[in-house]
Parts: sequence; structure tokens; C-alpha cells
Amino acid sequence: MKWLFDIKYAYRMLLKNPGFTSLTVSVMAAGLGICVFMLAFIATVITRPLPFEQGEQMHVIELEYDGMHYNGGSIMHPDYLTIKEQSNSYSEIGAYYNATANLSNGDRAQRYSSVVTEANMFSFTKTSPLMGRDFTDHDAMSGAEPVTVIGYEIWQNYFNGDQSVVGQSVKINGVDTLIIGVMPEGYLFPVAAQLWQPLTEDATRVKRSEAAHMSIYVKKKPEVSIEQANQEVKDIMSKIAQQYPETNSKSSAYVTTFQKWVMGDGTDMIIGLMLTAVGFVLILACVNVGNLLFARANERAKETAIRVALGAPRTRLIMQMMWESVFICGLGGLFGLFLAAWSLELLQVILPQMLPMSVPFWWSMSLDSELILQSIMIILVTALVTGILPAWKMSSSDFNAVLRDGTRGSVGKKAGRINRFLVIVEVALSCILLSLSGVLFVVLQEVNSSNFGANIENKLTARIGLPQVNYQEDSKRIQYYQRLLTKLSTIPGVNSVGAISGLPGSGNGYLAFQPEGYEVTENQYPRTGQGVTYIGSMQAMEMKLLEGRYFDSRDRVDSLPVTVITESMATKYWPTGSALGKRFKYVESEDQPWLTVVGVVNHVIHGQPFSGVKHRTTAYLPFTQQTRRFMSIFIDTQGDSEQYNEALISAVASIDPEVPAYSISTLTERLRRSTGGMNFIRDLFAVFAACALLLASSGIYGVLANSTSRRTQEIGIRRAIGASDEKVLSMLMKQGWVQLIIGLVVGLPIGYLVSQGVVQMLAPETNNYYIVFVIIPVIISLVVTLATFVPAKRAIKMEPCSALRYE
Amino acid sequence: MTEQVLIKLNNVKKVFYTDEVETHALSDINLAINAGEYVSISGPSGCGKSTLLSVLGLLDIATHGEYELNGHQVINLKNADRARIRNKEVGFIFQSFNLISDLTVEENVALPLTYRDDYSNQQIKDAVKVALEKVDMNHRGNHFPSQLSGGQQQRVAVARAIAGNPSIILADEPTGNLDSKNAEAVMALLDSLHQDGATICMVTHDPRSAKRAERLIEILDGKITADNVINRGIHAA
Ligand SMILES: Nc1ncnc2c1ncn2[C@@H]1O[C@H](COP(=O)(O)OP(=O)(O)OP(=O)(O)O)[C@@H](O)[C@H]1O
Ligand SMILES: [Mg+2]
Repeated sequence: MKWLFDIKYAYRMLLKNPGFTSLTVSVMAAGLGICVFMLAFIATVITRPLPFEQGEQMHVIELEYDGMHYNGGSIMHPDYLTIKEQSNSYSEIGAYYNATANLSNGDRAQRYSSVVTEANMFSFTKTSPLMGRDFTDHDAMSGAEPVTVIGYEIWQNYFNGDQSVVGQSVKINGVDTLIIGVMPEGYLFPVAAQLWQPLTEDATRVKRSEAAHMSIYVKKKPEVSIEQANQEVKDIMSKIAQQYPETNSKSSAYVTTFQKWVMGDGTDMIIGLMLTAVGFVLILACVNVGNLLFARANERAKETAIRVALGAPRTRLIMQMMWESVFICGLGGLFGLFLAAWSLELLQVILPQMLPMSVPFWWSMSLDSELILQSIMIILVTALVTGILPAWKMSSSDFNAVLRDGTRGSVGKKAGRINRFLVIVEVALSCILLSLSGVLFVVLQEVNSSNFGANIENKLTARIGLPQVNYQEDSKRIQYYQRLLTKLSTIPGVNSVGAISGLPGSGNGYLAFQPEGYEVTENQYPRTGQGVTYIGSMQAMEMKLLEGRYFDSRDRVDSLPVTVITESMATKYWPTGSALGKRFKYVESEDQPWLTVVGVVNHVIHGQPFSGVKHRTTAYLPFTQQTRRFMSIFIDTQGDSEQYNEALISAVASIDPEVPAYSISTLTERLRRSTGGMNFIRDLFAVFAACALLLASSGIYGVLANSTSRRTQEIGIRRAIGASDEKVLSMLMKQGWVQLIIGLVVGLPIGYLVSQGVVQMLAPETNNYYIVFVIIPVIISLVVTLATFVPAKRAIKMEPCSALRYE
Repeated sequence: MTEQVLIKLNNVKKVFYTDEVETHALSDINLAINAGEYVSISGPSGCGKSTLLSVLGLLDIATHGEYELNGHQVINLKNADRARIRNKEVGFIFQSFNLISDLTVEENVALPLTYRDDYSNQQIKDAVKVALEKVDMNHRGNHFPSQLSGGQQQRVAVARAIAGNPSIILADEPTGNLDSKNAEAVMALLDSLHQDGATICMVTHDPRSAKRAERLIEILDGKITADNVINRGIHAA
């Protein structure tokens, strides 16, 4: 193979120009690294099949209500049974719902997320327990002895890896339960389960409206398409809706993968956005390196002409130039792969700390062989893309003219035009990405610094869930929280305490209601949040009272049902005059009482502080009149709230050892997590944009450095005949500025339009993001100026006579 | 030696069209060159010497006329075939040497051979060695062109031209960039190549160089104005 000759030459050329090589290799490393990283992320989160036999056929059937896709286990049990009976698309089918398990061995209670499932779940995933046995149909009969299979983590942490754990009896939510098995390490199916209990409810014996809500796991037959499966389940659901219009009139169902189901509906858009951004970065990298290779090929035009004269076949000529781009992209790709692998590892560590939910078991970010293969394909394509244009151009240029003795062999206006065009594209692309990430930054800054309507500092919070069996009656619940809060307030250093159904920044029920005297047409009820607070909690949270009073000891179980509403609700529904004394009632069920407004507090944000949710109104009810089993408790502490962790846990344990405190964290941490996903995306875009700017600036620098060096002789002549340094400098820099301005004129409007979409989605009322469109042109201009100044300065530093000799 | 016709040009014209100006660089050239001949071409600047050489070397295509090289019509060939013939049949020597600066002397000489399918790596090595010995540059095989004097560079260029045993060597002002001493050395080299049987076609301004050839062609305004055989038999074996 004579190729070796060319490969050796390409290798020598790269060694000879370490600056050029490291510039191009690092540009490719950045572009390819980001690309591989994102592909791995998307593969892990969305496209890679679950790690089980026939994992690619595993799907979820979930509720679609009024056109909205739910993902929280919402299919009614009897509907599931109908689907199971009537569908033909699946080889296996089962259902489960999520629950929480307060696990207690008498000394110590701990809260775990559990899954109440049909007995076939483990055989569905073809996984046997590490120890003990699987569920049998007998376990799932109503009235059977309560049993559980625990996960590896519980076995290791709660039972310290006790070999005799199978056969032990524990209390789960107050019920004596036999441990029959331990699942292997890492088994968390369906999402992040820690413990499994058999579903023993008999759906035929309960009323439809009281039936359990579940998620359905299915193994699709390979020959059935997802569209067919979807159609089938929709048909079944519409038949059910005809039969039971009162419960099902708006209900349908959809089939999706576990991955998409967990990610929710916006996934496709976000992934599309990510892929677009990645594509941009990769295009930038290719354009850049192609540009640099092209500029260099220009400098070597004479050499190419010599090769042509010596009878080089065109393929050899092209290949010879391609080798360099193969080297550059290969090396860059190699670094990029390492970079991606490393960042994935980092992400794997960071992710659980950033997200509000527990991470699904399939989210193990890593490169697999398929991804590496894809990466190699991409690297080859980039090598082709970056190499083929300059190679083609050069091999077809007019070699005869170049050979003419005396010409230095630079390609004239044509090549210059292409280079200038590429630089403009780069400026525009980096402008778009920078505006997008800049706007995201500003918008999220605003979102993150939202006023939640409460004092969120120095609060340690936890969730409490009272088990149904022991806390059936209101009086027991009231008594429990009264004792708990009293106990908490005796902890030294605690200023005040409270309990609230949903903390600021966390979701509340958002329910239909009817203000008194409002004409409401059927099902067109307005909605408002419903929060339940223990007496004194609003004061402890420092929600400011604007009118009327807070809840107090007057508000008893048997006294007038009252409510305290937010200012936003007051002005929305009673815009004229005071809302005090006005009444409304929730309309979810028939027996809801009329509530009388006794107080108005400032607006409080419940849920993520993004556009729609941010402005939702809320009405608070006193715990005494509307008890709950699940509440968030909080203590307002002196100094660092985290130090009160142990004190809080033991205070909770001292009231009832079977009721653990869980999800313990400071309120600020909780809020940070709730916007964690968006912040993560912002950071991602910031990385993209930084890379884009790096790519663009290195590209601009490289191209201008090249063109300046090609003009060295011209510059020498100009100065020899008396042009001043300033004149030459401004002449050279003007070239860069023209492209800069065109690039900005193209890029800014596109960037503006794209970021408008983001603004509309997250926070339409923001307007200070316009500053981004001032700052970004300034940044880009500075970078471009620097990129033109450095090589220009170098050119005028040279003595005119040596510039003239320059070959 | 046999009077085998190597090159035959029939009514060759070359017109350049630039910015609506027609330049008749060559008009009605009829020329035959026999194998083993040593031809020099001279004439005033701009008369078309280099153009003629380009056409002869298949670097350029005649606008009109016929060109037979080694018994084959080569006027209507595809680019790839022209490249192949250039590589096999023609050896170029340029005024400004045109060595590739990032290839060593050996690699420069080997370069045209690497474009050929009929040479193994070992054959290339051997051919390079022979060629470099002929020009007495074998001791500098691993040097780069920038490490050589102009005369040495031109000798390497000659080695590159002859390494593949071409039918004809085309030289465009081979001594134009050299001082008289180096020029003399290169001319002596061409003489000895000719004595070994090479066909040489050389463009030169320098009357002394021209006189070393055995046939002197003069061109004026794209036309052959004189074609004299001189020195015949002096060098011919
Ligand atoms: N690519 C081209 N485009 C247009 N005109 C050309 C081109 N190449 C050569 N010419 C013209 O053709 C004519 C012959 O040029 P050529 O280079 O053959 O001259 P020459 O005899 O080699 O001159 P010199 O002795 O100066 O090298 C000139 O008038 C030249 O301007
Ligand atoms: Mg000439």
C-alpha cells in the first residue's frame, strides 16, 4: 500500500505544526465530546431498552385524562382488568401502584418507597430473588398472610445484611408482615422500588370510584407496533367510558416506554432542543476545522500542483489531504470520548443530588459498545465532512497557473469568499447559542429568586405519613400533630414549628371550587390550591397577614368551617371590596362544606416557580377541620438548620416509633431541587454556548491568522512603500469586523426568536432578558477583535524587509 | 540509434480566453521529436515556450490539433489517463525546482513512483537509489530540500524526473535560478542523461545552454520560426 507514504506525510505535517494541530484537535474534542455525551445521556434516559430479557418490548399503559398524559399510576383497577381481558397486543401484563412503607422492627422505623404489585412482576422481568422466594398467586389472594420481598438496599442498610432476614416478621405501616425474599443488588423495577408487596385487593368488591389507581406494565408482542397497541387501548377505554360515563367520560389511556413515561410529556421537545444544540456545536466544530484545513490547503496549493504535475491520481490527492482530517478528528474523537466518559461519571454522581425524585434504575450513565460504535461513525463522518471540501477544492484547482514560476500559489478570491462565509456562519451560530443560554440564565435567575411568599431561610423540614390502620380517626391525627409540634418546639434552638400539607414551592391539590354567588356552567369551575395548615404554622412560616386573622383555637372540628386565602385569590375572585366573610366550596364531592374567608395572606407559590403554576391561587384550611395523614413539618431554627437533623428524627420517633420522619432537608435545599431539572438544562446550555464561543473564536482566530500570514508579503510591500502600522492594523482588522457584523445581524434575530420560545415556556412576564442581547454582541465582538488583533499585531511586528522575503 | 518518432504535434493551437481577451499562445505548431533527441526551445519572453512544454507534458490541453505520444493519440484523454501518462511517460524539471519541502530527498524522488501501481515498495527503493546515484545525491537522501543548495535541489529534481524511466524529460529553464557554476553542473547532468539515451526537451533563454542540445527550435509569437539540427552526432552514441 502506497498509502503509508501519505499517512506518514500527514503525520509529519501535524507534528510540524503543533499549534495548528492542538487547535484543531481540541476543537474536535470539544465538539465530539459534547456530542457523545449527549447521545449517551439520551440513550440512557430514553432509548436504551431496559436491561431485561425482551426489555425493548416492555411498556407502560397509563391514563390519558382530557387529552393530558398522566404518569403517576392513574388507571382504575377495574379498567385495568378490562384492558387485561380485552387486549391482544401483549404477551405479559400486570399492574402495580406506588406506596410508602413505614418499616419497623419495634425499635426503629424507616420509610421506604414500596410497590404494591401483582404477583407476576418478578417473572415479568425474569429476575429471581437473591434469597427466599418470589410471590405466588396465593400471596395475592385477599385475606392472605401479608408478605413482602425487600430490596437489596433495605437488606444491607436496615438489616445489616442479616443472612436470616427471610422468615423474619416486621411491621409495615403497622401491619405484621413476613419477609419472604430479598431481591438482587440494583433491582429496583419498575422505577426505584425498595420493597414489594403483593396486591391483594379484589377490584370486583369495591366501588369504581373507590378503586385503587395503578400503572400497567406490559410486554408487547414484537409483531405489534406501538401505534396499534395505542389504538387498541384507546378503543377499550372508550368502550369503558360509554359504559361508565360518570367516572370515565374524559379518561383514555396511552402506551409508552418506561423511559418516556418517567420523563413526562415535554421530553421529546427537550431532547429535540438538546440534539439541535449538539448538532450546532458539532457543525461549528466541523466548519471550524474544515476552515482551518482549507486555509492550510491553500497555503500548500503549490505543493498540490507539483503532485498533479507528477501525475498523482485524483483519489490519491484527495486521500492524502483527507488523512490529516482523519488524524485530527480521530485524535479529537478519542479525547472527546474520554471527556464524555468522564463527564458521564460525574453526572451519575451529581444527578441524584440534583433531582427531586429518586433516580430510575436504568439511569446509569455510561458509554456502551453501541454508543462507541456510533461515536466512531460520527468521527468518521466529521473527518469526511471536514476533509472532503478542502481536498476536493484543491485537487480541482488550476494547477497550471500555480506551477507558473514566481507565483506563491495562494488561491485567490474564491477561497477567501468561502472562508469569510464560514466565519459568518460561526459568528451567527455562537450568537444563537449564547443568546439561548444567556436568556435561560436570566430567566432561571428570576425563577430561582422568586419570592415564595414565606420566609424560606433556616427551616428544616420533613414529611410525616400516618399509617391508615392506626390513624383512622381525625381526633387521633389531631392529637398526634399536637403532641409532635409541642415536642419539636422544646428542642433547644428552635424558634417556632409548624405543619402544612404542602410547603411553599411544593405542590398542593389544585381543585375545582365554586365561589358563592358565581354562575358556574357545568364543569367550568375555577380551580384553586388547597393547603392544610396546623394552627400557628402560617405565622411560623412568616406568611404575612394582610386582612382578618390567622387560624386559632376558635377553629375547632365543630365550629364554622373557615379558610385563609392568598391575596391573589382574594383579588381574583372578589376584586371589589374585602374578601373577608365571603364563602366558597370545593366541588370535588357532594359533601363539601361552604368555607368562610376569615383571613388574607400574601401570595404563596406552591409548585415550581415557573409560568403557570407560579400564579396559582391557594386557600388554606385549618388542620382541625380538614385532617390529613400526610403532612410536612418544619422547624425554624437558630443557626444552621441541618444540625437539627438528629433532634428532629428522635423527636418524631418519640411520639410514635412506627412513624418515621422522611425526606428530611432544609427548605432552601428542597426548593433548589424542585427547579434542579431546569437549572441542569441551563447549565448544559451554558456548556454548549461556552463551547460554541470557544469554537467560534478559535475558528475566527485560525482563519484570520491564516489569511494574515498569507498576506505577509503584501503587508511588507505596503509598509515598505510607507503605510503606517495603524493603517495596516486597521486594514487587517476591518476584514474581521465585516464578518462579525454580518454574523451578528444574522444570528441575533434567530437567537431572539429561539429564546422567545424559552421565555414563553418558563416565565412570560420576564422582560429584563433583553440585556442578554446587549451583552452577547459585546462579548462576541471582544472575542473577534482579539482574534483579529493577535495575528495582525504579529504581522506588523515583522520588519518590512523580512516580510518581503517571507516564503 | 533508431529514428523512432516519440512525439508528433499536428496543427496544435492553444488559445487562452481571459476577460474577453484571446491570447494565441500557440498557433499551428507542427513538430516531431524522435526518441533519444535532445531538443532546446528558445524565444523571447511570452512567446509560448512554457505553454508548448505544458501541452507536451499533458499539463495543459491544446485548443486544437493532434498530439501523438509514443504512438497513441493523447489529445482527448480523460484527466485520470492524462495523469497516468504524465506519471509514466514524462519527467518534469522546473526552473524553481518545485521540490516538496516537507518530504526528504528520497521521498521527493519516490513521490511519482508511489502514484504507480506497477512498483512495489522495494522497487521504489531501488529506483530511488539508482536515480540519486545518477545525480550524485545519494549521500543526502534523508535531508530536506531546505538543507540543500539550489544546485543540489535541482539535481534532486532531475533525479525525481528520471526515477520512473520516462519516455521524455521536459525541462523549463532548468538553470534559470542557478548561478553559472551550478548551472553548468545541471547542464552536464542533462548531457550525460542524453548520452544514456534519454529524450530531452528543454526551454532555455541562455544561448550557451541551448547550444548543448542537438536540435534548436525557435519560437516567436506562438509559431515555430526556426528548427535547426546542430551538433548532431557529437553526443549521439
Ligand atoms: N493561463 C493563462 N491564461 C491566459 N494567458 C496565458 C496563460 N498562460 C499563458 N498565457 C499567455 O500565453 C502566452 C505565452 O505564455 P508562456 O508562458 O508560454 O510564455 P513563455 O514563452 O514561457 O515566456 P517566458 O519566457 O517569460 O517564460 C503569454 O502571452 C501569456 O500571457
Ligand atoms: Mg516560460
